[in-house]
Amino acid sequence: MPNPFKNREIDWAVEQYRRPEKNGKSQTGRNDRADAGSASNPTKTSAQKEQMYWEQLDRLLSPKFFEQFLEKERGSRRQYRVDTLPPGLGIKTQGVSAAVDPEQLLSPKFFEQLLENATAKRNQKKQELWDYTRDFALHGSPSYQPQGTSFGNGVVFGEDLAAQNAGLALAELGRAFLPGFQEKRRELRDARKALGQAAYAADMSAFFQLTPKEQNAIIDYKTARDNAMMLGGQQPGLGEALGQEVIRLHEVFGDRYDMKRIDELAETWGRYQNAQITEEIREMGQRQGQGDTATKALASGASILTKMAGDWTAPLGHLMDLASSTGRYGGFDENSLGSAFDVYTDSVRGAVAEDIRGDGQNGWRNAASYLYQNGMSAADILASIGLYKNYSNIVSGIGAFGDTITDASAKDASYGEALALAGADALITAGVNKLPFDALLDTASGAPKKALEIPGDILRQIGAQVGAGTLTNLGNEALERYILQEDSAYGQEIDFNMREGMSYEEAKQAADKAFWKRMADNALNRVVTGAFSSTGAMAYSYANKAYNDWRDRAELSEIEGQPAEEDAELTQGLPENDISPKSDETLTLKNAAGHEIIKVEKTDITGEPGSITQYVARKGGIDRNYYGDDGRQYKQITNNDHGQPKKHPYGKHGEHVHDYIYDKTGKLIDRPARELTDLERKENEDIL
Amino acid sequence: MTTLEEVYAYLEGIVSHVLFEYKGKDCGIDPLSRKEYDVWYGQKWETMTSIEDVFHKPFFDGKSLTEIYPEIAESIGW
Repeated sequence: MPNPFKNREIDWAVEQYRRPEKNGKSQTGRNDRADAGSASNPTKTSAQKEQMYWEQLDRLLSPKFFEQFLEKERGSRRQYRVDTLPPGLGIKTQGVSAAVDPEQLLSPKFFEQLLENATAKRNQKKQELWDYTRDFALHGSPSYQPQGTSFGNGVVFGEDLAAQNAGLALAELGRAFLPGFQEKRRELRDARKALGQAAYAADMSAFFQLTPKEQNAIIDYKTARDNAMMLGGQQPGLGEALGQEVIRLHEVFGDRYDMKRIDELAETWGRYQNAQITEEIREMGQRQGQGDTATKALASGASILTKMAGDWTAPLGHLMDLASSTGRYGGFDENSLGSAFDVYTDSVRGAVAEDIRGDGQNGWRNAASYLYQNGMSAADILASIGLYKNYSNIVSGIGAFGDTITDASAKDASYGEALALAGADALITAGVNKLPFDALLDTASGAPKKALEIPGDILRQIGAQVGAGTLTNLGNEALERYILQEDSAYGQEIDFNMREGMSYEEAKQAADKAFWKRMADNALNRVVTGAFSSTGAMAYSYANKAYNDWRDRAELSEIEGQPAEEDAELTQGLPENDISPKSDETLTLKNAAGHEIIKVEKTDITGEPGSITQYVARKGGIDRNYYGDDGRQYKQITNNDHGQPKKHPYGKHGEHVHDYIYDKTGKLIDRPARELTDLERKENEDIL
Repeated sequence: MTTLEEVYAYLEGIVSHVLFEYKGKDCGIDPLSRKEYDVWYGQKWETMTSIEDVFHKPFFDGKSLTEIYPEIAESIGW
């Protein structure tokens, strides 16, 4: 989503805000000389200082920074000065002029002290905030005055709180880093989240301490900004309206805030709104989670999505973009759309799936439950296309999604059929409008060898999740068109359309649409149609896979649930000690999930259907090769980085997975590498 | 003993990585696609774009894979 301030009209408005007019009076009627003095004043405003502070903190919170810093400092033995730390870290730097040893500065003890100090200050601030809130509730006006600060409008309080919490977050980060970065990655993420939460809490505090007039100015500005971002190219006058709101901000806030700070507070307000809507969705889900299974399934599909589309697409998509552009709240996603989906899933989908699954004793009911969840994942994906990505044309596709389901249902289509139809429509709408085929080919022209990856990337961009087979087919088509140009199926389709009387543009548009329809068909075949079809072989295949997955998971959970001694016995010494001869040439092992593994002297592209083989390299690295029901290899898990850690930035020791991708003729064409999933990690923990 | 032709077919088919040792350094070739082969010699690393480059580029201490093959054949692992 483009930055609204790159828009020419809005640039004009911002110019009015930043520079007084030449007639000596600004748009706000303020004295030109005073404004000019302010603009040329080399002293940084509080907003600029705050921005610098956040930038410094961002750099400091980067894992790479920590790694580089520690390496550099340890190598040089250079003395590091405490008073060069960014401000607001919860430590007293005044009067500290002596340099300290970097090892001392970065010692666990240092961070413990920092943590203790910051915690105490944060607790104090929390108490002050609580007192203030209570005071405000009881008496209707704030009487709180923090000691030693010129509290007047709440902003200082907010910034102060943010600074203290940032100090706490930094201390937690440092503590997480020193014992070993890899092992403490989760703590690091938590620390980042704590920082985001701290900023959000502080901003909330700041926003609600603004006067009603100030709050309304920000809310009106946000509305105008969202309208301009969403519809700026389609409706005249929105940019000008936004400009007027910017001018009003200037009148209300003067030099107190710059536009970055205003945007942050607008984002804060939006997140607050988001929380309210999330609660509504939760209540709606709970209401619709009551009743029989069929009713719940239908209700959870259409109406909630429609509710989401109606309430969220306009304001919140923009806020997500804005949040990512400012980076203000970092990893803090408590109020994000993703978590709202979790709410929805928990309250509705989980209950329906449980109903289908029953007591868990019947494997086919388990498989059916899986199918239901699979289909609902498609609904999530389609909704998230519109909600997360904020493309107005895709949003219109999502809007049509609910309508199509309603129409199809009225025509006696099954729920699955209606969902598939609506999904296909939405994907086509999204694909055709957002991603014209020419754009795909432009990208392909720049890097032909990457063409195979492009359809996957594009689908991922619009939120779809498709399997490797689908991507391969799509990639082939993209490559075909790139290489063959007019002779490709796409080119021939354009020719055919033109012979049918279409203009070139119409013919190309129709061919694009047909391409995306094929793409949608392929994608949805796996996530919707296949999951819901009652007759097709695809459904059987999915059910079978679901059942096997469920069985594997059940076995895995049995392993996890066993007493430690038994667990140790089961996995002890694997693979070396549990080798049992199967034939003269083959030895079998078991992985951590208890699946039989065949030991081989060489990795081969084909194997026993459904089997896993293991190859142990001379220097100890282990590869596990997975074969499908057709005997073709579909995956390889390697437990090391081949001695090239920089080129294999995966897992703890460079362990990684290669997926095997075949073209439609059955030729292996790609072996992309990726991280192990949690399940893969669990199954192979005996070699990791 | 593994022949050069077998290794060629294996890598051209992008079946899996091939590991070996040359002049005391760990070496390997990992085919990611038919136009992307990761090749390493100790800490030296290059992504080559064709199977021909993999076999004929003087990457291993100034020599090609084809040239050094007699010396590494015994250490081939796949």
